[in-house]
Amino acid sequence: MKRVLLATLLAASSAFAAPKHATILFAGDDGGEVAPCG
Amino acid sequence: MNPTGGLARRKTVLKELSGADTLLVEAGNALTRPGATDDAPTRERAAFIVRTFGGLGTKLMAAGPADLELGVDFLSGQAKRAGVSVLSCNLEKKDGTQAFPGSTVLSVGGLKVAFVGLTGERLFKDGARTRPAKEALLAELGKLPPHDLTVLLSTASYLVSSGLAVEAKAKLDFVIDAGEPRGIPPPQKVEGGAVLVAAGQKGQQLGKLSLDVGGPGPWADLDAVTRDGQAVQFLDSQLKTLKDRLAQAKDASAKAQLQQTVKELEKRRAEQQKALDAAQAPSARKFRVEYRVLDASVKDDEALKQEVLKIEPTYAGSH
Repeated sequence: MKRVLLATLLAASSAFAAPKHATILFAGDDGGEVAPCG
Repeated sequence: MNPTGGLARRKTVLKELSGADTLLVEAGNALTRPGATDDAPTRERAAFIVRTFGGLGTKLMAAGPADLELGVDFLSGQAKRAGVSVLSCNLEKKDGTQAFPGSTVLSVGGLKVAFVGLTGERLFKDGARTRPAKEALLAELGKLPPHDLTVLLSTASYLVSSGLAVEAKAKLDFVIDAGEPRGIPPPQKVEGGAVLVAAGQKGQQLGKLSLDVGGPGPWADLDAVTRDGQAVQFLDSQLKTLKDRLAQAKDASAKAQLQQTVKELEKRRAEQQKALDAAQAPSARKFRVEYRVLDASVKDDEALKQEVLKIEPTYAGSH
């Protein structure tokens, strides 16, 4: 019974977990350029 | 002419955008210019770029054909000194051993992000070669430790990357493609659910992928959500106009035509609202892709500019 209660509580807490925010900054295909070009 | 890009401007923008929940990666094909030969200036330039990546806080990069012109050992040595991890799931050295790790998992903002690197298929001067991309990628994805989302840094062509994303089905979330210069198309969701994102071009912009993960739902593009919201508002105003006209219509055939149009618009609105609700559900995973163009409005980091001038003396930027 305790296990069922614990599982229910864990499921509920994950369902209402706060959203996670992350930022991935990226570049690519720089082609050897180090200075402004184009 | 408005020259754009440069590492000194990139550093300035990074100072603005970097934060605790931020990670900087390089999708590859960064170190040599097209047609570069293996000579001292090319080596000096490539070494400077890797060193600068490390200084800017770049955690990892995928090994692309343009990064391997000077050999696996050159890239490996420079990256190690700079503290940048190099990834490729399908590159093997002349002796048949794996040249670099295929993947790594990094934590950012409470999320465990698995990064996989892929090298555009080729045979290199030092005898290094690529294994078929599809098999190598699927094998790498199959052995990833527990994680929240997967990002492929691909230096294969956009078309090949798109095909791989479809093949990988739900095992890939994002593909950042640095495989060919083709401008910056908007993010494209491919069959299977992965989102294909262009890495950039000639270092002229810095990409920003913002993630907002509430649950395990499908990815929703926040820009598309905004557009869907605007479309619902537009349909609401159209429906109001049509219903007003319907209330005043006396001719039976005009009434029937208006009723049919209202019915069709209501159906479209319901579909649009359904997509909007799904994207706004607490379990939805939302993303937005933006590019900061490194044009003349971005000031150079002066110290880094002095270093750049040693490699590129013709750069006479005035910032």
